[in-house]
Amino acid sequence: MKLNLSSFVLYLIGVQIILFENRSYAQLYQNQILLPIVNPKVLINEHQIADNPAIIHFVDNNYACFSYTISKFGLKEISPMYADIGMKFSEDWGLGLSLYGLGNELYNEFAIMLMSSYKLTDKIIAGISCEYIRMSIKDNFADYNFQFHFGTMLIISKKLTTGFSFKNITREYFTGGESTANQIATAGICYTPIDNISFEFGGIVRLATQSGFLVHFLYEPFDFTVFRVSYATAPKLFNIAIKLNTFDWINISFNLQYHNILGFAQTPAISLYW
Amino acid sequence: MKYKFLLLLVISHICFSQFEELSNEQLFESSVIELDESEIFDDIEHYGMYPISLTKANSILISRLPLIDRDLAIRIVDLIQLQGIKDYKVLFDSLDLSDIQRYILKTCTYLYPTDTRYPSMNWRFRSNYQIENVKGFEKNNFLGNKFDYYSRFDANYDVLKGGVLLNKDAGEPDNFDFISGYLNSEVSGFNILLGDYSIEFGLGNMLWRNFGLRKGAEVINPARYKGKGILPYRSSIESNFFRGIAITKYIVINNDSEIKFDAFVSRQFRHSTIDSVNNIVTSIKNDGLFRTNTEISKKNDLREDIIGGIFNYRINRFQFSIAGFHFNYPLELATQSSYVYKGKGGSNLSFFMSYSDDEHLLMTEITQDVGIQIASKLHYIFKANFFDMTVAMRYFPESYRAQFGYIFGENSSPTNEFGIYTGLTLKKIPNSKISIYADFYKTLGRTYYIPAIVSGTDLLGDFVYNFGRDFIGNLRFRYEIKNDFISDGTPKLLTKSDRISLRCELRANTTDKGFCRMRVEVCRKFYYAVKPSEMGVLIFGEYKTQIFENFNIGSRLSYYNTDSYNSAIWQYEYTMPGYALTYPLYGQGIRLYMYGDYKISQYIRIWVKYTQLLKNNQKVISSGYNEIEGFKSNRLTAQLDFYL
Repeated sequence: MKLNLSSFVLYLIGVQIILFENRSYAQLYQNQILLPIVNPKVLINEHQIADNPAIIHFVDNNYACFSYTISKFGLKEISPMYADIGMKFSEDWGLGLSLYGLGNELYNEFAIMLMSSYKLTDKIIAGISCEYIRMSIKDNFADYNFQFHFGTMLIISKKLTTGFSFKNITREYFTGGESTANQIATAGICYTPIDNISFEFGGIVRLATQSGFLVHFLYEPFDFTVFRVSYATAPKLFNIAIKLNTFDWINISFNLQYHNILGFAQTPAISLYW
Repeated sequence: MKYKFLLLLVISHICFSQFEELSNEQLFESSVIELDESEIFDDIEHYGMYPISLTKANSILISRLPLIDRDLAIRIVDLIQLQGIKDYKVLFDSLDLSDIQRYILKTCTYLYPTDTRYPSMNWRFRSNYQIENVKGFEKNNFLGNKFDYYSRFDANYDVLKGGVLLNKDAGEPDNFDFISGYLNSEVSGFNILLGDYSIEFGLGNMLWRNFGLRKGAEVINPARYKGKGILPYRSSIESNFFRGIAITKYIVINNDSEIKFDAFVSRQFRHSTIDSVNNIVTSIKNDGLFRTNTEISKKNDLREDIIGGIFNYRINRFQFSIAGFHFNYPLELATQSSYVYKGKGGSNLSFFMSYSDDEHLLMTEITQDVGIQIASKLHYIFKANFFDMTVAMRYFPESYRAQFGYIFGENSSPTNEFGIYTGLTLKKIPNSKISIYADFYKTLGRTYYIPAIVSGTDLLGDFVYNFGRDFIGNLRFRYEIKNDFISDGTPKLLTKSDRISLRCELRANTTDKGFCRMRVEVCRKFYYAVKPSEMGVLIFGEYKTQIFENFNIGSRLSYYNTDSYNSAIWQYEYTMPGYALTYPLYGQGIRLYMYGDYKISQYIRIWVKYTQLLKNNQKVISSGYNEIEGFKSNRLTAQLDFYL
């Protein structure tokens, strides 16, 4: 019975997402999670690179990252899973791959994103990514599209970095969403007054919903521990994250987020390096 | 004392060097063309093509450059031709010029003959093509085709100068819808201008060009600029210029004093709506669009005759000027417009005076219009070592009319406004430039849109910081409060509204000709509980690079989201010489443009720009005849310059 109810709720969510929002669940909710945009220091796990592909440039080692958002509304089907892998091919060029999946037989969505960064000058890094997104509701709807994203990081000084990113620059949309395509632009600036403290302030323009601002505060009390506290407007989000990288080859992180409508979401992640 | 002087010199050099690398676009955007200041744009470009020799030219010629007044030109001649200054940097430091004045002098003059061969002729051709059909074409309202072009030919042979301009807008059936031209020469000590011309006098109370300087990040220059007299008309704007003959004569009495006479006669045909029953003119048409039968019926239907003159006497640091003109129309003007004359004709008279020395500039203009209304302006600028400041007052009665005037104020039409503007620029702060202005104003009667006296305050703070050679940051804050009319409800409400905007911008220079630039701008509009507040956000990123020698490309992508037009954010775009525009971004959408330029040879250069505008949740874009069905607008612009 519970499975049937879960499937029904998931079905309704799918209909809502596809027909009215014209975005995937990941785009609708996960993109609203507070993400770092202009400084690799503010990363808690490597999946967050997906917001600005230029940041791959700053990954020192090859990595694999797995993260999972614990089920929402008690429905295990609404538990997005992510897997990311990335590597530096040369001093100037980095490459990454990100996978995402959600749902069950009745409603599901899947995305795969290929990201690349390139160092244009010593102070300017550009990144581009291509994302394939597929969504389907059994016997009703199935659609896919390719979206392109672009990001840049500008290194003003050791203490000051800035950057911007544009999502879905070619304005792809699912069937019926021609005039409400999901597009997001972010821009921000990060200041690191001392080595273990950083502030990041950013603006977000979401064309299909609300636009607003976000601020991150990051503190590294020890070499192996990072705390991050974040706040965003429109929608109102509060986020606390901790990262533990006791060994060079592994990093464990936990992200707790409060959304003013959806409530709490917890996302643990593990990253491996070699 | 000696060391203090040296320190000041060093600081001033640092301050100079930090902004001399600013691009053409940045300078215009920060200084001159926040709005459609296309005529100054045209002048800078014209003199950039035909530059003036600072070692040979007299002060009269140098003072024809935009933003370089006669007093400044005299000082330039003194420093270069008498004191022997041989370097722009030393010249600029000696004169304490603003960034835009430095740019103009470097672009429009040269110090020594070089191998550079300046062209004697230039032909520019530009065309815009809207890919979608606008409503005027879809409904067959427009009589002409979609072809839109601008063609300008300029020639310069010693003292003889001339130009012809042709223009046709999309939908106009006449391939030569607008023709303008001038011929300018020195004959027996007289400067004679035949054809189309415009007139700037004093502070713009009575005579000015179509546009003037507006409030913006350059807070001192707008108060400093005074009229240059009679100027050749090189614009494609089809209004407010004169057609006929103008003669200028300088009489130099001695080194410290001179007299200048201008006389002008014009017969021009304006475009208007005529009430044939009452035989009166009910409106003047200034948009220059003649695409439909109704629009064409208004073309050239109102003769205008003008005769006038200007007397100018300069002695030492003082200048006294008187200008007057008489105009006549065959029909009575009875429009609702607040700037168009009323009646069939009459005379205007204006008196201007200025005093300037190294630290002070004081200017005032008092004008009497055809209805015997008196208007006045008073500008004062004080220059100190570490700051420049200005106070500018304006008073224009409600029924004052000056159809050919333009003022630096809240409204550009010189009527129905009293205001006090104050500006301050802090100089010689290492790596920084700080500018602030505050403008307090009120109307003296109701306005066309608001049935009450409108009063308001406009504050701006602009901070530019240089992070080194590669990065320049800009933070700009603006706050405006004024009476507003809320018209989207019933009943309509009169209330106060605030508008707060904040702009953060960073520009990174990648190479000599390449840059990366990003901007975040946010605006909030408040209606004091009468209506929910509104918000607008814009983010754009831009990248320009040189692909190979003589070939540059660039692109800007803007994402914007605003609650309505009231919280719109304006974006300035400059991608090719002579063609700049400011565009209001409102609603939700993106604006993308890509551009490139290629210098094929020393004789030919081309520019191309493609613009796409997308608006979410919109069934149509624009309105009226220009309405486009759908949520997309695509436009292509190409320009060719030919030099000989």
